[in-house]
Amino acid sequence: MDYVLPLTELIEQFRKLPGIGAKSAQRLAFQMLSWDKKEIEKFANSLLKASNDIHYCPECFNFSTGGGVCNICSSSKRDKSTVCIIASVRELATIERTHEFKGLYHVLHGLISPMDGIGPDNLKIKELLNRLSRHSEINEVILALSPSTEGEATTLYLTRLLKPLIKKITRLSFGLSVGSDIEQTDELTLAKAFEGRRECI
Amino acid sequence: MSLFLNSISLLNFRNYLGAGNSFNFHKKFVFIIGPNAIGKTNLLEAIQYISFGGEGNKEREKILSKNAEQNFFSIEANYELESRDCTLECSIGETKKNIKLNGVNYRSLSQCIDNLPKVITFKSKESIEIVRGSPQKRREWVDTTLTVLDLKYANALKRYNKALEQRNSLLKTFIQQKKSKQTILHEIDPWDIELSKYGVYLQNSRKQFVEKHSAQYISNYQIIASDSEDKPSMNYQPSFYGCSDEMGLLRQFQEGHHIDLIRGITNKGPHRDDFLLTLDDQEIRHFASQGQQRTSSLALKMLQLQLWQEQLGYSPLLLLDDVAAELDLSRQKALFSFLPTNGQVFITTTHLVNLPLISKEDYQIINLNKM
Ligand SMILES: [Zn+2]
Repeated sequence: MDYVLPLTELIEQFRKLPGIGAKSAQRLAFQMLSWDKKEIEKFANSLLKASNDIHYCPECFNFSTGGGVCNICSSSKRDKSTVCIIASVRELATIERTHEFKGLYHVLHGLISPMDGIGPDNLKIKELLNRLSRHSEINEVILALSPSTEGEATTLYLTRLLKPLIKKITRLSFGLSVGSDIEQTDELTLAKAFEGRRECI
Repeated sequence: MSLFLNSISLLNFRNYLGAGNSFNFHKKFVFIIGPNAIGKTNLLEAIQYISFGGEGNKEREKILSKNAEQNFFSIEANYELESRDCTLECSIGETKKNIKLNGVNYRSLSQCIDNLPKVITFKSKESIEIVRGSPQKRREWVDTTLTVLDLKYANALKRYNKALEQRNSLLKTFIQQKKSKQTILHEIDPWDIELSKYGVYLQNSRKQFVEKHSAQYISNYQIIASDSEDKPSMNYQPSFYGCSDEMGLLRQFQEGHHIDLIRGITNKGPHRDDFLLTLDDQEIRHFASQGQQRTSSLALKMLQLQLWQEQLGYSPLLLLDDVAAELDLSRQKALFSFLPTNGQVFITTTHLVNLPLISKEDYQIINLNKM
């Protein structure tokens, strides 16, 4: 049976979300239709506001608002000589929770993966090189990428690339089972991984 | 017994359409009898499907019911594994897969490999391909065997294959003219390193495997072919010669850049290794009779059985498909002499022949004709 057009369209919008199949999309659409008009407006507005106000920090590519650098890059309490390289903003939140790291971040927005069509050019690597050349105070880079095949390859690639530019390049030492992700790692283990980071060769 | 399959229920699996296809197993030897094409092999394949180690299991997650009207099938199995009762439910559809082991959901069967029954299959027609077929067949046999013997090997194999897939994808972008040669040579480095790191472990393990166990293969062969004077041997033929450390492998991967770029694929490396099986210094693959090839493949499977038993401390399930039709009496007798005293064995056959070595209280018969 076909629904009225606006409902069909709403269901299609929900289906765009990851992990949402036809049935879940239907359920969500029906659920929302039963909401108050006010609630719907609030929902739609916060979606629009988020999309309008949030942009990438021009320095580290973390999320930021208000047009400038993010609250980590602008904080006077952070150690500006150390940059921790991560694959996504999700990992930034995980690392922040450990309170172990006081430096700055650089978000690559992905890992090298030729089978998904992702090469170094598709990541924020050029931007990293640019940043390093502008900020001579940066003297340590920490590679905090997952120990997966793609994380390993990206770590190796960046090590080669950064070696001539940066005095100290370290990587997290995972006492973790290979294949685990930073995101899923508990805070204590992650804190230890920071403490025991080792120099890249 | 540390591994015992108590029951299996099939829904739409191959020729087992609809519900109500439940089989209970309560003996050490299970004979599955019935005329050809009644579903004997399909029953074994269902057991193989929910286990680790069977032939063709690589594609198992893709196999669908052969009946076009049914777009899903399900298998439920109850087994005892190291004194733990396990219930495995898996229903596989075209778009959805549900795997549940003891009530816990998994994304795929390979995610719960440790808790699946281990199985060794001997199908006369297909198992002979280990000996007669391409190097890939022998590699698969060694990889499967070593995966159970060495957890590190299983991990190295997974990592190697992933890196290989990535490296090949990168090389393909050159063939498709998406990237320049210079860019690729700049970006290939990390993959070479990954491949070397895990490839060296594969190579050394395979070398050791052959050194350590070829004698047992030879002895198995001679037991099965009791009346022959064949002199079998097994040798490791690595794709990369003369290197046994990470740096050595790395150099060889780098030397391959030129040809790899032309062909758009990684031409050499442990993924191209072979295991040379000979009789009197001649390759079994090309020069031996079918009987000799069959003996060799059976000797390999029995070696796998012996090694797994030793490692696991219990016997894997053994599935013997129509061996009576393909093996002569003396080979059948030899085969039975290898059978574990504490393992479960499933045997399909069209006719139940005299089985002098099995006592009556040890076996049950499932007659598919009468169902
Ligand atoms: Zn920032």
